[in-house]
Amino acid sequence: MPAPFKKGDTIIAIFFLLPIIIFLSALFFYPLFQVLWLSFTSFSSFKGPQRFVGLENYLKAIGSPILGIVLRNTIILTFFVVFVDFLVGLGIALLLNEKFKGRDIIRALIVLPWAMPGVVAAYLWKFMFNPELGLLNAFLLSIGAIKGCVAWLDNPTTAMIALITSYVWKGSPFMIIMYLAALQTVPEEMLDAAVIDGAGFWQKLRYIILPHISPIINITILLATFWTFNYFELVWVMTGGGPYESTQIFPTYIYQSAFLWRDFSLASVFAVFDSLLLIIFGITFILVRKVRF
Amino acid sequence: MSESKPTPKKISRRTFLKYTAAVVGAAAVVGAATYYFTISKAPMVAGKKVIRWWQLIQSAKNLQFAQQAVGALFEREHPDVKIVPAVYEYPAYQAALITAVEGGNPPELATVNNVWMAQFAAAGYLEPLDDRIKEAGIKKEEFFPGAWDSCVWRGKTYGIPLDVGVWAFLYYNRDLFKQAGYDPDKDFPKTWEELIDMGKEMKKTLPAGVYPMALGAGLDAYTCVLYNLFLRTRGQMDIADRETLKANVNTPENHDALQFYKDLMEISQPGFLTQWEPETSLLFASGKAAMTLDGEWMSDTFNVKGPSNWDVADLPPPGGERYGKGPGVAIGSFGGWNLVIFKEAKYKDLVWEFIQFLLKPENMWNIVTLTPAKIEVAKEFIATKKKRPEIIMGTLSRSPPHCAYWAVGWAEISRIQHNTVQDICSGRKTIEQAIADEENAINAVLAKEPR
Repeated sequence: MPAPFKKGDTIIAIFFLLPIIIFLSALFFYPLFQVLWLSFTSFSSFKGPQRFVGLENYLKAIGSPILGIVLRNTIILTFFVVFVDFLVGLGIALLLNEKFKGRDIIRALIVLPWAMPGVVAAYLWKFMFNPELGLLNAFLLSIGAIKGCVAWLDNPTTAMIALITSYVWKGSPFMIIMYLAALQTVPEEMLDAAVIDGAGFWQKLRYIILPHISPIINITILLATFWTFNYFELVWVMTGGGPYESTQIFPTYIYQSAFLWRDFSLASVFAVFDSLLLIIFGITFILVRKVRF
Repeated sequence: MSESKPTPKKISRRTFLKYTAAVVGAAAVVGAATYYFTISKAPMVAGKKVIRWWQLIQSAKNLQFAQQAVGALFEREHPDVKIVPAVYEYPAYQAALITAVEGGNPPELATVNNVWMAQFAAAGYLEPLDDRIKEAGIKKEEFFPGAWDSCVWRGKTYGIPLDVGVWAFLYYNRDLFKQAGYDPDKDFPKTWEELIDMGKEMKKTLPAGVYPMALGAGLDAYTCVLYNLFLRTRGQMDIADRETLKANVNTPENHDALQFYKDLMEISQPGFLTQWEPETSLLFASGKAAMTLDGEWMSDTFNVKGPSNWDVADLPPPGGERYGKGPGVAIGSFGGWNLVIFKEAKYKDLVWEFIQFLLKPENMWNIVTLTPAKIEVAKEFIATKKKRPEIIMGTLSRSPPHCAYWAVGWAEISRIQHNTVQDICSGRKTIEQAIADEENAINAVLAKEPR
């Protein structure tokens, strides 16, 4: 039997862990603390030297209407995307878990949107919603559902719906894959026993399938929330945060502040708010749902 | 029945060390291979002074090919130099440039948008070129005034104009004019009011899916240059006062400019609030719009992509009952790209030599995607390549750089202008309300300007 670790091995273990600790410190903790520090300073590379300003940037951000707009938009977008992602993901996974001809091909094709680069997907969807040249209007006109060209991205409500649709298209394949994998771990004998006991589809789903795959559901919802909250390309390319800031979300506003206005302090304040919200959500979700990794 | 958990398999110290050694060994092999096949295998640049030359691509031209050709000519005269060109699309260029500069590894030579000059100069990114310009005998009179002005920030010159363009000209489709019942020569609108009225009439006669105007308000930089065009053509040169650092928006000129922008929306395609040049030029090129406003560079694209019977004119001046009068001619918003040397760049003397090489007429001609910034080169360039050269030269000669180009907070001001237009065009605010908000917002930005 192999010899277990001894106490003296700790030093060796630390020695071997050192590279990854240094790596993480350089690429994760340093930028994290840098952002935190920047949020307490006045720092724009265009506007003179950096100086400590305490909570001034935070108070300005809280007093500005844009924080509320960005917060509202990000929460609305994330909530609906994750909710629809879950429904679509579970529904399609249940379908693909059944045996039918061509199932393997569909399983492979379904991953494509997820694998597609975000910017490519964004341009594709932007074109799809183009009033004159887009496929959506062409289709709706052909079946008589609309009379003239609709500018989907010009109206705050339809722009948000368009974004949610494109996010779901891009993100739901991940849910599908995860749920499909989880569904294959549901014991057949339990499902067979339920059928013998007279259970229908909804009862099997509610009492057997969902409880069995709930750890995966928890993880996917957690991850999808984080990803959607911070996903940048689709909004940036499709609407640029418009019309009149109605689709402006944290990542696009942070990018705009940092890379167009070069106001790193403002960008850092919004990045801190963004991170805090996700940390609070993440901890609450993990505790309430008893998520285990 | 109780489930027994499988006992985790323990690994011995020997096994652990064995796997660790394997991982470290593999990493070393990958690292060595990467070095061998990439860093050490750069024979093209080994032992040479590399001048990385970044530029923006803004038309259908194959710019990188042109850069390589001109770079090769310089390399022939300087065998120890390697020119490595790169081109970027507009949305990515500024971020790429600033990231490189802030990372301490800027390109040796780059073109910088004339509205970024104040930001870059204030940040201390740029090398002042006054002494070099004087020594080389370069005269500002050789360049369009709007182009040269954009290189100067607080008394120092930080760039040399290379590539210029002016927003905006009125492109029109002669066939669609005729289809709508207008003679494009005799009936061409002479005032803003006539333009709008004609657009409204065209809307009734043009087939479904074809619009009198292709225009938008979908990107800050695009919206603000159109806004500036209307403001100046109505008689006001800037949106703010550079001496007092105060907004200057509560004026009849600004009111009319915004009213005109809103009126243009009525005769334009759906999607006005989120579309800009890529969509509007495509719509015009595909024969789905009778008119569009764009820069002179777009004629290259329209030559290639259509429509077949297009023409170009100046935007008519304001007039009529709805709008006040302006100077009587269109005054555009002068955009363009200036050659700069970054403070942290290598081989500054060599790069300066290369800049002078690029300013030679034959080279400048080849590497611009808009119009050469030197007046004499531009005259020939426009006469050879553009329709209506007299119109284009006239507007280029009289147009100043974009409004508030001198402000470090230009990008924020352009966003405010964009939001003002969007607020008005969407009907969320009256023009008076939007102007009041615009004034406060611009003043807040200007209050942060370095003094």
